[in-house]
Amino acid sequence: MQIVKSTVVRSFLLLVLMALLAFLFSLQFGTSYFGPIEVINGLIFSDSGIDRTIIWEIRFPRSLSAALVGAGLGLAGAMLQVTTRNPLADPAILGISALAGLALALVVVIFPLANSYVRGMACIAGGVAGGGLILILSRGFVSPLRITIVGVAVGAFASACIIGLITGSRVVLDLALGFLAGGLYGSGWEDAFWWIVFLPLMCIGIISLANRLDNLALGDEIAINLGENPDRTRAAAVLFSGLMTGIAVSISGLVSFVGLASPHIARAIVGRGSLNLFTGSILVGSIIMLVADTVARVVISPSELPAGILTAFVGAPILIYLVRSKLS
Amino acid sequence: MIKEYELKSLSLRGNSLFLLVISAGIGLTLILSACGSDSLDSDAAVEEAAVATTQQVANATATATTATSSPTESTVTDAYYPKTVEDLLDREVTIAASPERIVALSPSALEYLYALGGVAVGRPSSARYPEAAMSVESVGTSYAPNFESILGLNPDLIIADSIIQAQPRFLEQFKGLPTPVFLAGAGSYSDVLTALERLGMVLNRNDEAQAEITRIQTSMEAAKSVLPPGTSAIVLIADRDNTFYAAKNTSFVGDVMDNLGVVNPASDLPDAGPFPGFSTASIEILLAWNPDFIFTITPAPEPAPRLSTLLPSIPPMRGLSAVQSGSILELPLEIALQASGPRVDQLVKLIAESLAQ
Repeated sequence: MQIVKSTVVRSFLLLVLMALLAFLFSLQFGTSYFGPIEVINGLIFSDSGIDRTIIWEIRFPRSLSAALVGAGLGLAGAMLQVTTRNPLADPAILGISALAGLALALVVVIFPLANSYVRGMACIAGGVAGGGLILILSRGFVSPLRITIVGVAVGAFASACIIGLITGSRVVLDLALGFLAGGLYGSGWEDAFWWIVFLPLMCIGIISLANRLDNLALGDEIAINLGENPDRTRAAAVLFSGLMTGIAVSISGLVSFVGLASPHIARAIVGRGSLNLFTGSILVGSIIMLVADTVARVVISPSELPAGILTAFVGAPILIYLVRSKLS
Repeated sequence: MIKEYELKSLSLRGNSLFLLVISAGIGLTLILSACGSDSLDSDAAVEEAAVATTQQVANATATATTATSSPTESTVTDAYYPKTVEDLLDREVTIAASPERIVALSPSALEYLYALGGVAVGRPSSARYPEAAMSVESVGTSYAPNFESILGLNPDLIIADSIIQAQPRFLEQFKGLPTPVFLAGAGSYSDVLTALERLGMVLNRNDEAQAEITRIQTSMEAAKSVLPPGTSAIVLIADRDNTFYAAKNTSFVGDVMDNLGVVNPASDLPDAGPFPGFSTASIEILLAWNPDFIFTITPAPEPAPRLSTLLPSIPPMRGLSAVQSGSILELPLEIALQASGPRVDQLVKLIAESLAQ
């Protein structure tokens, strides 16, 4: 209860601090341990030898990618939950992740030698197409409930297609385990560079949609009187979630739980207003993903667990604790 | 609910400020990373450092050789490197000096190295042979090598697998490493011979390479001589659902059989199924082929039952003459599938002797 009662300022600072600490820990831990000073040296000075290569070429881009995946999924989940007024909505349940994954699988089958930029663009296109498909199929009356039902159906269909492709095509099988379980193995600068595009996109999305979605929460009639276009706002939110989901899937495959849990955890810390919620979800999602990835790399070193399944290990206890403490 | 909304609108300005603060924080991180040097510059810087290191190693090696061996030997060693060799993906790889610390990323790569008399400082966790390599540090699986472990061993040569690690996602990662990466795998019989020859050039062990190649070719000729011509055989693998896959000649074991002159009715099958080089084979088609001999491979570890013992217990399979006459043999998983490579002579001998009976 203490967390819920503190001011928004303190809560945000706490979240930012936790995110920075999670980022630092992800740089410190791995096959070899680096102290904080060594990490800073490795980041700044380019002549520290092997340490520099490990930190700069392997861990730093990987941590940036993990943060981007967590941020994207957290934001997508938060927007979808607010838009569909369904606290169990997330990109995976609504089929947007599955469609992004299907786009990736198709590209890999048709162009096995496609480089990571092509794969990234395919996933983004798939994610946006997923959002678009859901909107088209629920056209006429874009109600929260209809979006949810259509999303579940689309997701089931796309997941079946992915399994079919994996069963039939030897090329996709190479990707299969890492992709289906979700993980950051092999992510590098070509994934981390997407921050340059997506940080401004996230800011634009939050600033333009947060207030509008808050107005929608009052009900469509009141929202229209306030000058909103409910259908268009919901459509924009779903498409934007598709965009965020697309980049997350392209980097890490089908990660579970982050989109679902981040908004709830964020809400408990920074409150229910959309602006706070979206920003908080970005931070919470990044923290979950960074911690999960660090644990994934360390637990059975030198082998790795898929981080996508560890997100549930990391996030579920937090969520359960918050739910219980809110009800008490 | 309306009260909450009013309260929220009052704190909007404060929240926008914090949004900006957070963006600035992340932006600062990016600027820091850009100033540190962007990835292109860091690649160049790392390469320069690597070249400097390898030149130091080369100088040290040259000095050591001059100090410890006869003058003629040291001249040969000095003149051999730097050497540029094409790997099995036709990439030109330049080795600056005699490799001292070699990491192998697949069982095939490891066996090539040891067959030529080299030693590794890093091996894949799935390798089981040779014994001398088992004490070497593991760097993760062949399908997911751990690059931190690899770099932590400070290697001057990495031997990767041209079959398992040929996809863009591996090649992209290899490009970011300061160490030369040589891809050598075993997808076919001729791959083994080519890999031994080229790795021999990389390691300056050309005599050992030639000896290995001759040994393998001799065993192939000996095997062909005992084989009755026109024998037909298939190699079967089953997945968890007991779907059978037969080896085509594009698989390693299929290619070995093809080189031996064994007739493989599965070679005409279209590519189907998720396993490279193997194609789905229904029981009807197995009955239509009715091969003289059936080889089986069971990827699942003990105590899972071997496919060779399961086959006769499937009623329709009893219609096959090979099952009736007991002409079924379980091929050792390592030499037939997982660790294809220099031990191909054992595989060849096994296949030939089974078919000769």
